[in-house]
Amino acid sequence: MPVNPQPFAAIVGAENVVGAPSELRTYECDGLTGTRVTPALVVLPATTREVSRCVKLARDLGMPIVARGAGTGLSGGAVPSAGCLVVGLSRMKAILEIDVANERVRVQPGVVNLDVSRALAPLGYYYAPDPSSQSVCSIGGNVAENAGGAHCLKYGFTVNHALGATLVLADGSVTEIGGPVLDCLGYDLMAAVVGSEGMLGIVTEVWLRVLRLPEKTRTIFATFATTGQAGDAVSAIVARGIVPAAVEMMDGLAIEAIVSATGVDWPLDAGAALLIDVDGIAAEVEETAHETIALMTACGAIEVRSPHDDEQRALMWKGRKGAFAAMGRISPNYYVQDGVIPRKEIAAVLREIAELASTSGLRVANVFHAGDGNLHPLVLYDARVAGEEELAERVGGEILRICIDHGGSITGEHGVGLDKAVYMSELFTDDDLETMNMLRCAFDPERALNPGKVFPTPRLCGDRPGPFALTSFERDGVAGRG
Amino acid sequence: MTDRTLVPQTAAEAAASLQACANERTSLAFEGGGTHTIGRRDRDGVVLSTRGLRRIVEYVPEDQTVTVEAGVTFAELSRVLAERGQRLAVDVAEPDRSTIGGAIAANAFGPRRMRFGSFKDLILGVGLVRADGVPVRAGGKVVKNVAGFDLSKLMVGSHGTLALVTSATLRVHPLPQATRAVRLTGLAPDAVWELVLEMRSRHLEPVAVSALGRASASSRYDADVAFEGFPAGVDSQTACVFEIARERGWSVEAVDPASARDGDARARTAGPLRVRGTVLPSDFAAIDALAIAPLAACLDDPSVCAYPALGIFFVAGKPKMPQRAFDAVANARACIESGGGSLVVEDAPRMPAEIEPWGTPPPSIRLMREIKARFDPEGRIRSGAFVGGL
Ligand SMILES: Cc1cc2nc3c(=O)[nH]c(=O)nc-3n(C[C@H](O)[C@H](O)[C@H](O)COP(=O)(O)OP(=O)(O)OC[C@H]3O[C@@H](n4cnc5c(N)ncnc54)[C@H](O)[C@@H]3O)c2cc1C
Repeated sequence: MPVNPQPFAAIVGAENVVGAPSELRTYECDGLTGTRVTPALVVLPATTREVSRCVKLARDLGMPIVARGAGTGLSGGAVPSAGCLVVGLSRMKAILEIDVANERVRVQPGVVNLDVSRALAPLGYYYAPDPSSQSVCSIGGNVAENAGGAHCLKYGFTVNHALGATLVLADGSVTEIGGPVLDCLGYDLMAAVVGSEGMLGIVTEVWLRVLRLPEKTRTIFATFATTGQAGDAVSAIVARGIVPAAVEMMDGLAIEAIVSATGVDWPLDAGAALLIDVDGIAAEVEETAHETIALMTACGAIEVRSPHDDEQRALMWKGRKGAFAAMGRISPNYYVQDGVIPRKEIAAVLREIAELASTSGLRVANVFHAGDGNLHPLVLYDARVAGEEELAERVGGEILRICIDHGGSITGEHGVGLDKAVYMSELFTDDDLETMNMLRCAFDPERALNPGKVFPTPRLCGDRPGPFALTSFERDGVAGRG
Repeated sequence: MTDRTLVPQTAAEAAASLQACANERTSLAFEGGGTHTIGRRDRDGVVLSTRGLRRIVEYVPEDQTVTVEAGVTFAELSRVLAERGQRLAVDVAEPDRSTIGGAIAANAFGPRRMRFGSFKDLILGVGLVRADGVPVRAGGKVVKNVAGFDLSKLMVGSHGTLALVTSATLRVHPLPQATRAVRLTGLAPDAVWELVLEMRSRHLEPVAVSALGRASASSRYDADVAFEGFPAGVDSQTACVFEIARERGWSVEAVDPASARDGDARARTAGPLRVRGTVLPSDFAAIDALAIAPLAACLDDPSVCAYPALGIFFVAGKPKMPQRAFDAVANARACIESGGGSLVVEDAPRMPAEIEPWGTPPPSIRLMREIKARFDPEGRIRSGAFVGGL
C-alpha cells in the first residue's frame, strides 16, 4: 500500500523524502546484495528532532522503521522490512564537538568513520576502531554493529570507544544514554545499545573516546609457506606477552587477489602472509618489532619486510583493506563470511575450511583478523552458473558450524542481521534468546524497529516468556520474523 | 519469611534456589564477598551467597581468556593466572574477599582502568540465572563476538538487581615484564591535571595515575604514576616523568609499585563515610575546590584518592559532625551533578534519609525501569536498592 509522502515532507522537506520506485531501489539492500526488499518510503532527516517526528508519524501509520547509515553492512542489517520507513542518516554528518583535553568527540551518526580521524589528525588524535570499510561506513552503523577492525586487537571495538548517545526510541521519544563522563548512574544502556543492530533505537548523536596518535608505529609483513605456520607465529607472539596493534592474516589466494587488484609487490608463491602493526612509545616499539620479527622467523617466515617509510606502510595496509574488493579480480562473485574461533584453533579450522572448499568445488580465500581469531573466509563463486550461489551460501553456513564446533561465534563484527538469524539457535538456547528479547522489549515493546533481524523466530513482548500468537502486525505481513 | 542464606554449590543448584524463591515469591539479594554492596541491605528476604560457586571452569592461556564461577575470589584467580604469566587487569582493594561475580555486579575497578578499561571492556560472556530461575547464557568465550545482544555488559554495574551472575568469561592480560612507579609529591590539583596532559603530549602511556591527598584546606596531592611493559619502555617513560617534574620544580622519586598500589587500596577502604565521584576529567581542579576539599574538611583523618585521567575520585573519613558532613555530601553532589557527573555514597554510618546512595537518576531512568520490569517483573531481587528505586 503506498504511503503518502506529504506529511513526511512537511517534516524533512520534500527534497529529503524518497518515494519514487526507481529511487527507492538504492535502499533495497546493504552490502549483502542478495537480499532485497523495497521500502515504502525513505526519509533523510537532518536533526534529532526530525528523526523523532518521522518516527512518531511512521508509528501512527503502523509502519515498521529501519535505520540506515551508509549501507555497507554485510549481514542485511539495513535491508528494509516490507512496508517500512527507512530513516537514512546520511545527511547528519557533522562533528559537533571536539574536546581534546578529555579525549572525547561528539558526532552525528552519519559521519564517516575515517572523517573522525581525519578531523583529529592535526590535533594528534584519532578514533581507533578502523573497519576496512572505514572510508565509507558511518559511525551510527558502527555503533549498531559494534564494528571492529584490524587495530581493535590492542585498542578494542566500538563498544570500548562509544561512551554515550542520543537515542530516538521506537515511540519517537528522545533520550540521552551514557555520556562524556564515565559511569553514568544505573544500568549501562550504552553497552546494551552498541551492537544492537538498530533494534533498540535510532542513534542521532554519539560521544566517542578518541586516542592520542601513537608516537611510533612499525609495520611488519612476513610470508610463510602455510597458514599453519603463520598461525603458529601469531600464537608465539601473543604468548610472549606482545600485544601488537594489529595482526592480519592472508592466505595464498587472498594474496593473489590483492596483488592483482592493488599492485603491491607481495610474493605470489607464499601460502600465507601476516601483516602486523606494533605501536606505542618509540623506546618500546623498536624492541617489540625486533622480537616480533625474531619470533616469526623462528616459526618459519620466508621473507620479512619492515619498511621505515610511511608510504610503504600505507601501501601495505591499502592492500589489506582492499582485500574484499580485490576478490573481483579472481572471481565474478564472492560471499564474505564472518566467524570467530579461539585463536589457538586457527590452524585446525583453516584446514577444515580448506577440506570443505575442496569437497564443494568452490574456492575459499581467507583474509582475517588473526590476532582475535576473527575469520573472514571469502567463498568465491560465479552467479551465472546455475546453483553456485546457493552452494556458496551453503558453504558459508558450514563454515559457521565449524566455528561453533570449535567454541567460537557466528559473527565477530558484521552482525547477525537477516543473514545469520537462522544460526542464532545453533549458538543460543531458546531461553537465551528470550532473555535478549526482554531487553529489546524494554526499549521497543511493539518491535517496530528493524523487525525481522537477529532473532530466528518471532517473539512477542509478553510480560513473561510463554507461547505466543501472531499479531495483526504479522498476519498482515507488515512486520515479519523477529 | 525467615532470614535464610542459601549457598548453592553449582550453577544448577543456584537455578533451583532461584526457582524455589520464584515459586514462593520470596525477595532475595545476592552476595559475593560482601565488599561492594552499596545501599540498603535487605533484611527481610533470602540471601543467596555465591561463595559455593568457586570453580575455574576453563582457562585457555593461549587465548588469554578464562571462564570462572561467580564466587571465585580475585586472589584465587590471580594465583591460577600467574602460573601462566597472566593476570586479570582489574585492581580491587580486598582481593582475598572480593569475588569476580560481586566485582562485575559492582563494576569494581582500580587505577589501572586507565589502560585496561573496566569489566565492561574485559567481560566476554556470562552465565546467568534469571529471577524466574531460568539459567541462560549471553556473549561467548571468544575475544570478539557480536552475535545477539550482549547482556554480559549490561550486568556490569547492575548491582545484583537484574539477574544472578553464576559465571563469566573474561579477557586476561600477560603479566608485564617490568613495572615502575614514580611519585610526585605535594602537587596542587591543577598541577595533577597538568601532569596528565603533559604525559599525554609526550606520548607516555602510564597504566595508572592515582593522586592521593589529604585534602585539607591546602589540597595537595601525591601523584603516583605507574608504567608496565618491557624494561626499555618503562625505563624511558620513567625518565621522562622525572624530566617533566624537574622542568616544573616538582619533587619526584621512584617508588615501589606495590607501595603505590597499597596506598591506593588504603585510601579506598578507609571509612566509615565513603563517597565516589565521577566528573569530566578536565574539571578535576575545579571539583577539588568546590566539592572535594569542603567535604574532606568535614572529616577526621580524611583520605582522598583520585584517578585524574578518568575523572574519578574517592573521599573517605570519619565525619566530625555528621550533619555537617552530610550537608557537604549534598553540596558536592549538587555541584558535580550540575556538570554532568555523579556522586555515589558507597558507605555511610547512619545516613539520613535525604542522602540516598545514588543521587539523581539520569534521564534514561525510564528505560532502566522497563529493563528491570522485564527481568524482574515481581520486583523480588534487591528491588529498590539501586538508582531511582530500581
Ligand atoms: C568492503 C567492506 C569491508 C568491511 N570491513 C569491516 C570491518 O573490517 N569491520 C567491521 O566491523 N565491519 C566491516 N564491514 C561491514 C560494515 O562496514 C560495518 O558493519 C559498518 O559498521 C556498517 O556501517 P553503515 O553505516 O554502512 O551501516 P548500515 O549498513 O547502513 O547499517 C548497519 C546496521 O546499523 C543500523 N544503523 C545504521 N545507522 C544507525 C543509527 N544511526 N542508529 C541505529 N541503527 C543504525 C542499521 O539499521 C543496520 O542494522 C565491511 C563492509 C564492507 C562492504
